[in-house]
Amino acid sequence: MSLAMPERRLEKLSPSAARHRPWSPERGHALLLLPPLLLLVAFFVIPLADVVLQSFAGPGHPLTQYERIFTQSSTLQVLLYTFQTAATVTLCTLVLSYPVAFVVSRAKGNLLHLSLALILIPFWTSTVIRTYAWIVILQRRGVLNEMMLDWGWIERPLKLMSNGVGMQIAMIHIMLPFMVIPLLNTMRGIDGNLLRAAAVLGANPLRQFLSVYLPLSLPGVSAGSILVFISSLGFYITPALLGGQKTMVAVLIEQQASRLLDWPMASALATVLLVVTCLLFLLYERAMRFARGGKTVGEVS
Amino acid sequence: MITKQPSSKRSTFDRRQILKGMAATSVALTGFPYIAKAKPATMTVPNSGGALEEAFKVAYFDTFQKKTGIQILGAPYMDTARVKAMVENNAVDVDILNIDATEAAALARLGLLEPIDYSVFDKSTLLPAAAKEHYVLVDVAAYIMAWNTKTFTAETRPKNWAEFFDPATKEGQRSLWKLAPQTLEVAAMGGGQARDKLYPIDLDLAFKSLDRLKADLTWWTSGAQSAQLVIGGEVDVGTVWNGRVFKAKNDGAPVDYTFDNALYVCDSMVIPKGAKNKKEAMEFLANMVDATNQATFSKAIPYGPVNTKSFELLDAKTLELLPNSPQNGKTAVFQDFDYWAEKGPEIFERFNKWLVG
Repeated sequence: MSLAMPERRLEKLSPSAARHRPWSPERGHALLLLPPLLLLVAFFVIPLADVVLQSFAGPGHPLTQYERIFTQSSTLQVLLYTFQTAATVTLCTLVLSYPVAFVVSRAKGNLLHLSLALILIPFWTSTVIRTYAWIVILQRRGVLNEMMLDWGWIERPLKLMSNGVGMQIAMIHIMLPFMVIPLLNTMRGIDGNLLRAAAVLGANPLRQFLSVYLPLSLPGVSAGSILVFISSLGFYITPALLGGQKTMVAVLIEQQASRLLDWPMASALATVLLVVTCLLFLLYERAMRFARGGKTVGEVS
Repeated sequence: MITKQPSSKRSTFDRRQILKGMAATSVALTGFPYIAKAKPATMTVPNSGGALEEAFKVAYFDTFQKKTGIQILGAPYMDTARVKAMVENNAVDVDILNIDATEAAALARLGLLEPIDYSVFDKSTLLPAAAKEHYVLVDVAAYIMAWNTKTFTAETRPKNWAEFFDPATKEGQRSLWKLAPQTLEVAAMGGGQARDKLYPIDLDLAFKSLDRLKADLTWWTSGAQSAQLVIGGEVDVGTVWNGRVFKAKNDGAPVDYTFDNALYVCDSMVIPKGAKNKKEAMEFLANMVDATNQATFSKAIPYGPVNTKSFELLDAKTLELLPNSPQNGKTAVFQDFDYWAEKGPEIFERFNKWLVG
């Protein structure tokens, strides 16, 4: 790790200090972790613990809120819809990003820089603005519908905004960089000679892809998918502005927390979301490890 | 005049003690007995910001500073959750704030607000609905019907909420706020509930109205979006808050609206429990409900005054834009904020259930 360098240099520069407190590279590494760890404990772990504790507070026995969540069909349906949406968005983002990442990973020089810029520029625009841009495009008398009407492709404007379709389109668009970048990272590490070797050994392009390229790109696929899936679960602005009749769980949490002031309920909903997400993540990691023959997700050889 | 005293927020001076000793000289010399009590140099008033804060500044902040020397600073909106956290953690650094009336009612119900001291101003000139025990309404906005003028004219638009909730009579895409309050009130009126007997809301009737609309409905979640849906033609007719469309209509956008059967929704002022400058907060509130200042406010933004004396100070052009002016307010009804504070949780639950069902 390049970050550890200053510590090691320090050790060499001050031999006296080194005598009293012998430095080892490992110890230097561990100390570097301290500031971010403190930050995380103070501003993430403790508040999160507070949220979990709050979910057991409130009137009734400690599990009242959870009982309410799991006996109310509406809340369960909201959770289910949230996970379904996140899964759909992840899958579509992956399908769209994979070829893009592949092409860009092969690019060199100016083309590479240009394509990276094109991927990153929308990433720097606020989500609210991009969501409103999608409204302009997708609404009933919006750019897309007017165009298709003019060309005679459709007779009545398509309903894209009040049924969740528009929301998913916008979410996919917003999530694309989160998928492309991990994919790109992994793909650029894949040795092109391996594909050539497979070709020499008689594999057709499809076989080359399926047996060599795809397995090697899986760490990027899993990193990107996890990132997109988990971000999609907590999406707030886009579902609020483009969503249909159904509600995503983040909107429900906001309602409980700031409209109804039912903090135990809001905390319980947040905890359920957190626990289910962690469980899915563990399950996914298990599956990936199994698929890759015993290696953890993210480990690249 | 009185000079501003620095770092006065936590003064330990006891007004009465000092007065006892100095009463004669103080009164004789200055005529201002309260000079002994350190006044805050500034007070922070969180509010909804934007155009509302600009109107607040002209009508209330500047006039208060002129009167008392206390400078008022605007601050970002504090929702109920933040007020609750502030009061419960004993960290009350705001003396008075502007908040949505349903939120004020919820806070009052939880005992997080100071009672309003009605000895400071004359409440007899206020609308009866405005003077509550723990909060005071300070303006009147309205949840109303607006339509895209490319689809409907003032003659062909849904005549009332009953027609609004009946897509068979008046075909067209509708929009509503995706939240139980306000939406269920107009849905109940759409089902035939009389507006003068709107509370308790006949929920079965309201949900039946919503059922009829399900296939032709677009939901909105922010005020800007509600106006955009109608102006952009995504929907043909929908609900909006009047402050969101009057300017667009004025600027020639294809939108028109009516105050018929409007639901009044209001901003209010509250004093959080444990506020340090309660006296000044009450003086500020008194300055806000003053007839002249209320009229100045309504000229700056089309939200109606709560002081009945203000109407005579307003010109015809302004009155036309106000939800509760004599000509616009004939068929409107005030939202019952305390009803929502009490019944909110169960109705929200039922509404959410209906949404996923």
